[in-house]
Amino acid sequence: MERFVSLFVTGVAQGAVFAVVALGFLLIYKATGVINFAQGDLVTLGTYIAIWAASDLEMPLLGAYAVAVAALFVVGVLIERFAYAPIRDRSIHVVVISTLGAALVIRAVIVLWRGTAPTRLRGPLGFEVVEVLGARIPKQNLLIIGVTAVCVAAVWLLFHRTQFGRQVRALAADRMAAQMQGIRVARMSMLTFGLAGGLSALAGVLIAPTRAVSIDLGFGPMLYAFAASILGGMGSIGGVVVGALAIGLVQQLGGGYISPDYAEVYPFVLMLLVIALRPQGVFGSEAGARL
Amino acid sequence: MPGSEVGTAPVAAEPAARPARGARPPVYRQRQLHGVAAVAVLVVALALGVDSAFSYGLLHSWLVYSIVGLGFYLVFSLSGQFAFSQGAFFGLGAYASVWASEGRSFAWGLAAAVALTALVALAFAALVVRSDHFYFAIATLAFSHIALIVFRELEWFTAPGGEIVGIPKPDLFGHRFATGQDLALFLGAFLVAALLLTALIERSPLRREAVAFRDNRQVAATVGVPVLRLRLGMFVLGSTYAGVAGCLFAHKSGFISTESFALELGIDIFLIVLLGGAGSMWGPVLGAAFVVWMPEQLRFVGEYRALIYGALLVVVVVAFPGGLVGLVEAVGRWLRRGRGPGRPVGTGGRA
Repeated sequence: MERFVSLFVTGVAQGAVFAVVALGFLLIYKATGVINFAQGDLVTLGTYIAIWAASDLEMPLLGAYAVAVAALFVVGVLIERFAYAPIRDRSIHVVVISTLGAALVIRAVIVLWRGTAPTRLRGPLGFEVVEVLGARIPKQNLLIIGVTAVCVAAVWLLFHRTQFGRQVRALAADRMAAQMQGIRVARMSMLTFGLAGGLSALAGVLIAPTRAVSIDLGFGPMLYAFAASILGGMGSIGGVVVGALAIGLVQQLGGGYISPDYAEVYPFVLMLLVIALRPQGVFGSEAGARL
Repeated sequence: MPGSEVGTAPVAAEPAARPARGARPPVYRQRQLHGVAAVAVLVVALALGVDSAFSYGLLHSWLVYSIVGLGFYLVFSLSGQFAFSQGAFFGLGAYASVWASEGRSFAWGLAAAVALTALVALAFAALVVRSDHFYFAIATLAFSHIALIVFRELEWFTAPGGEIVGIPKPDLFGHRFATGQDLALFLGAFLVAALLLTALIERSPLRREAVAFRDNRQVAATVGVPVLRLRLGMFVLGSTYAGVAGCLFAHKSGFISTESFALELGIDIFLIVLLGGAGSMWGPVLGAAFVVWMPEQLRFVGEYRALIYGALLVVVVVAFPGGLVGLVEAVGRWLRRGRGPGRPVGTGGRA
């Protein structure tokens, strides 16, 4: 039982981080119809900026987190300006390659700036644990779950209760019609890339204290966020969040009860099955048909 | 040369067509088979002319990378399928070949590499056949990730940790291609065969159908292009190219590890095709030469290499979508325009 509780909570916490990254995908996808393949390296970059602010600038931890999120908002906007805006009207393939190139540049910059040696980022709660039903749960995991819940609620409010959210949904429903109504496409795409950048940094500082930080930190979460988006059908916030939690749980429970060697594989097997059997996503309706 | 035999075949088959030469499909005027013959001559010349072990190493890499690039050209450039899986199939071919040729001849390894990559590619493509663009890209990305983990964990098939050393050089009919020159000619024969097959596709209606499918899937299906067969066929063929290249890579290097097939390989494959020019079958050959030789020329950039590659990728797709081949064609057009004063200026450049 302890084992199950421990795996379950870890799975939910990991899934929560994937959900934060996937929300970034969702925002950009709704507003522009493309996917940013640099998202994973934005997670890594945000983490390194937080480490830099906390250790080199000796800022308090939460201040360092805020610096990382703000800096990544700017980086997100820069990516939009240099790697997406010039080719907005070209084919989807060109956009994918261009964001991939941006990802390479970010990786290279991180290596030049901080080197390749693995490092660590402290969590605000250190290594404290609580006992739940006999299982020792790191408080960081509970923090991840709490922050993600707030974050998901905030994004939901942004989507459904603000002018910005209404415009994003209008773009997702019918780009041409939305443009003719005077929605400023360029500004919307800059804003969503920026917000997605900020969300990446948040995901980075949440997940970094649970593992060693290296240049590949963001790659796994990005792949799992892709898988979560596909499970959720790239449509609704709820679908993406449930998809992300499912991915986290499959990874942890599969790794715990079947074979730890292949823990990373189970979520992708689930994703490939969803693509094969229900390409519109488990919770998707017609939204996935555009992909 | 095998190139010249096939080159004469269509002419011999239709002697009556000689007077109406203009009636032959315009694609034949691109002289792809002359190009293949030229590459064959170039490979032989390089194999005989080069002398240092270092230069042979570069030559071998160029030949292998050209083959994997040609495969990606079929999958990505011709049929518009955004596949991150090319590197994984390269690895699968390498491990399959080492596994099957252990204690046996290289031919067993090659056969296993071809059979296994083709089978796995077919199974994977059939599984995700309902996905479009982004889903397909993500599925192939996940596939490569799974493949790397399997290479590392499936020890009876690969080796503990996926590291294999001391792979023997390829052999054929009892002759082992152990010297740099022999190996260059051996690998060159594979490149020429791969180019020949690609050229035949370029000259057949397959190319037209693939391009139609790439540019608009619905319309292509409506006008009767066998979309499913085409999509699966091109993916399997291109992935098999990668498998063969992987098999050659393993035997030429003598050493493989999962690192050989990680993200960097995938990026090199992208660069090979995009930098060379995604619009032409010669693009991957030029692009592979660039990716192999340029780092040696640019040693002084050292640790900035990754930065330059990433920036180059963005600049090429944004500003020079034609790649190196596009650049060559533009220069050619410009030269022709300057030379022909008798021709009307406006149409001469565009024709």
